[in-house]
Amino acid sequence: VTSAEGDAGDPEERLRSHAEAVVEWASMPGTERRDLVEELYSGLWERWHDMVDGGTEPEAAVQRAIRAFGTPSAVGGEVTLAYHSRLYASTVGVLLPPVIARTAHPIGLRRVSLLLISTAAFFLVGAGIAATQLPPTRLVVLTLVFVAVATLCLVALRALLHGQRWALAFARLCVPIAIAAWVIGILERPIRIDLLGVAGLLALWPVLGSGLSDWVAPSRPVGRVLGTGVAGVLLAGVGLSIGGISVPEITAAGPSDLHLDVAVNCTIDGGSVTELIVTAGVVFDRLDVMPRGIQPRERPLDQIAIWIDGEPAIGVVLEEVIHDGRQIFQVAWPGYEILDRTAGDVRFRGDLTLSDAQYGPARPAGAAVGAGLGPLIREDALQAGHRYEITWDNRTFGPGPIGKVRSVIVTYDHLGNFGSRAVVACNSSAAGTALTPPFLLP
Amino acid sequence: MAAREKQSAAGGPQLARGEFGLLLLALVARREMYGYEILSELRNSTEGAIDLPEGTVYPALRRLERDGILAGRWVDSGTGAPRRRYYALTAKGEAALATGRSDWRRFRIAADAVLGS
Repeated sequence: VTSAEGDAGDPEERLRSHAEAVVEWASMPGTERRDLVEELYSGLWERWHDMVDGGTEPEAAVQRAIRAFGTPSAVGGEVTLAYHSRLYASTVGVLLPPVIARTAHPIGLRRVSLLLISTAAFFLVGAGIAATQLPPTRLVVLTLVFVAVATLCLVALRALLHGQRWALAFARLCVPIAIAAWVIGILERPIRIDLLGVAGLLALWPVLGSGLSDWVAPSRPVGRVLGTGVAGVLLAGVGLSIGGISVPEITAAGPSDLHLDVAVNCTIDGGSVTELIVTAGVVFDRLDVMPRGIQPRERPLDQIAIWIDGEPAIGVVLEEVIHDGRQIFQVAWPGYEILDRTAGDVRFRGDLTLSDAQYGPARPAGAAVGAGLGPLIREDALQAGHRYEITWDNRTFGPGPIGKVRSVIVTYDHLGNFGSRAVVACNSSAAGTALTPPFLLP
Repeated sequence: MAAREKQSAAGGPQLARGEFGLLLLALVARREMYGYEILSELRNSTEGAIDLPEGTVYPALRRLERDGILAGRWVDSGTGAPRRRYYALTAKGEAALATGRSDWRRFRIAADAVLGS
């Protein structure tokens, strides 16, 4: 938007053009624009006419009247403040000052609009997932950022329809992001067709073409600070959509909150262990707040496992059952219990876990499970400060000596996030040390 | 803009937004006026000490009209000149002017007590 101060032409037209430039700069109700242009033009004309009557040359009077009136940015900014708050004027008022379109809509406008709508939809879906399935800190951070990006996309859509150049730059920034998302999606799952990527490819040509550049040419830049902020919000959204799971979760328990202790009692006969009793105690100082978000769903559970001399000590039997019409396998671990020593009752028995997702493809009933699988524990059934104790008595697993038993290793895996491991010799005890994934193998 | 953003074109006193509005009300209280006339009256009444960028008076008038303090109407000026938008005080505007005058006098007395009259 330019002032008419330096143009040649009819004085009255130039005065009107300056009045229009002021109003185009401003953010105000569309219904009052024409009315304000008339008022501003009237004021300019009165000033110009006074000077001409006073003997000033008409051309010089035009320039002086326009200079005395103020620039479109200065007066337009005041007009914006007459209709909006200062906060609105410095943000939305800058992003969405309607520009009177001087040309017909370029052909690519609809495809760019599709790109912006697709991007907004992508982040709204992400916000929905975050809101239902993530723990509190990640929920708040990701939801806020995703909603901000989606809102920004919709603001950009509206701004682009009004010919704002920042909106075109925003859409152009979305294109490589959309293509990258599409490529990543294909790499992860080749058959998947990513809506965002398709929209990005559709919009690529018109976004990079010149027709849209002409469309936004009359608008003004939004300024470095606001422009950087807009780009920053978009990039933050993209970054969190890729690495949001890495946002520190301050409501989750950490390795220092888990205490594992293990005691091993061996009966030795003729140099071989004939009876092995392993007792493991687990205490959490605190537990996760909503570890699976507000909509709990099946996720890896806590797991405790035992190895003797590097080999899984206990075979677990899978029993085929039908649950909700699905064929699943249920872990059956005869003879084990987990005691809540604090409450003085049995909290878990060997029938806790069931999941075909957990154990993969169907196995013949009665097959032994591979290394490291132990009792799985529903984390939300635990209580902070309680001591949970599990005892393995290896007498129940077949006749004959167990062997030399040089070491017993017990691991506790908390939702796959962290764990603890204790290495204990016969007739001794030890505390666990913190582990980070992967840590199930000794 | 800062609170005292209205730098006089003549380098004179600066006006905060509320003070500028109060001056506009005082001028319009004399009689129904249009924007350019208000500017001329302001310039003449202050002997040029307050000489604002002329364009800023119109958004100020619009803001006062939106607040119900002024009422505007279009009047054909004849003789080929553009129409003029005249402004008059409303009842709410009269009350606002009375309050503004009272506040300003108290402020001036307090300021004089510190600065010396």
